Amino acid sequence: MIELTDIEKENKILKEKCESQQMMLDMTSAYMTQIREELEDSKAKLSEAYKHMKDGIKYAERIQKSLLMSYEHVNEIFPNAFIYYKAKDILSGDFYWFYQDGPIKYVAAIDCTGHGVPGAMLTVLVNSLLVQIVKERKLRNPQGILAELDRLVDYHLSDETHQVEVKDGLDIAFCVFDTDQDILYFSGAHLPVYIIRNGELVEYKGARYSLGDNSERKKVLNTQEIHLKQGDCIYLFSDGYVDQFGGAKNQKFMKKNFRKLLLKHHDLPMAQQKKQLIENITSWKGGLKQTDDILIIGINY
Amino acid sequence: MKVLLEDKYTLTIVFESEYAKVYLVEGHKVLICEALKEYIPIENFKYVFLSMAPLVKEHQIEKFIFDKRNLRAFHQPSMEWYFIEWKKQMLEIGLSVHRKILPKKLAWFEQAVQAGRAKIQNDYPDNIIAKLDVQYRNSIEEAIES
Repeated sequence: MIELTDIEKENKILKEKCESQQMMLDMTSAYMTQIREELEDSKAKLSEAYKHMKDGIKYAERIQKSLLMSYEHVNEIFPNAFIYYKAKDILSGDFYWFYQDGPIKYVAAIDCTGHGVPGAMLTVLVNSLLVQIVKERKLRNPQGILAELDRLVDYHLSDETHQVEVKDGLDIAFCVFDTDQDILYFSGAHLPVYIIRNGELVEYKGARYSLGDNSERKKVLNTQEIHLKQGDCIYLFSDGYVDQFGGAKNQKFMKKNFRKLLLKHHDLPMAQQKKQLIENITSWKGGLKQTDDILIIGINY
Repeated sequence: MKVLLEDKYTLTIVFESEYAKVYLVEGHKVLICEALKEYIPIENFKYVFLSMAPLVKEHQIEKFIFDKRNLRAFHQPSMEWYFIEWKKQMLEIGLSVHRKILPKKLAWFEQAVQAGRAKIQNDYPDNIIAKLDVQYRNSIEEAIES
């Protein structure tokens, strides 16, 4: 009788254990189904948010492109010129700026801090300031233009009334061509200009600081006067091309290689030069991502 | 009876049944409940935990460690009682820190525990879980020390 009771007890426990395990299985299964449904719901929301964001960025790209002068218009100012412009993302922190006022032609390569959306927002501000400084107020001296740009960028980004101070700025190579006198006036901040004449490349360096902090360092800005000759090749560029990682050792492309490349191809027509530059960096980069926004302006004077 | 753990802690057995052993960690206000079998029927489960309640009060226990490594099945209504009734009573006498040790390398068991917790949260939205410090550990030593 005692044994029977023990067996009954064992059976009862076994039955409860089996029921518990079945309950665990059902509960886990229902939980996993719920988690999967929640994940699918989150995925759908994420996908919708991504599409919304991408649509916004694509539209912003259209706005940014509308601020850039078309290649056709650039070629009206400089018939022998190319622009290699490739954003790292959809939007770019780099941009170029051209303007002509009679015999005076203005060219700038600008690299705003960062890339993507923040960089692009800064390009809109800088573009607007350049229009104000050069087209409306008609400043002519590159050093003065950059000093004023420095002051205004700092004013707009660091106004005391703003809740948050923005420590952003830009690097720039700014050229003013006096085509009557065949003189190029250059001023730069962090970015240089290269001129190739008779197979020799000369680098004119910019000041060693970025614009936008309106510090005392702006005193190092200067204007360099360069007498041009027909056939001179002039190159302005951001650091995106030379900083591109790649090659066998996954290194930056470097300025020295860029100079060699320009010297090798400078005799080619400008469109061919651009093609060579693109082929070279594509090969250098290999399967790696683009490191930064790229901008190179080439002008055959 | 006393048990030495890693030459660091002396554990005194303060309760023992067919399904569980309960230890008091000497010099610490820690109580450990070790499940001895793959499954604890609800009546035995309640008996073990109700037996621990006076010990928690008497020794002013601040941390409770539930070592479930021998379990291979749990009874969800038992767990609901444990969460909703027992833990609430223990909180009233000052026990809010709970450490748990689950069976090792049993992903399905961990998932079932997660599912069980989610069910309790869902069925008893006014529970006291948010007032408790409940964390999982890999060993008794780890559970005592953190």
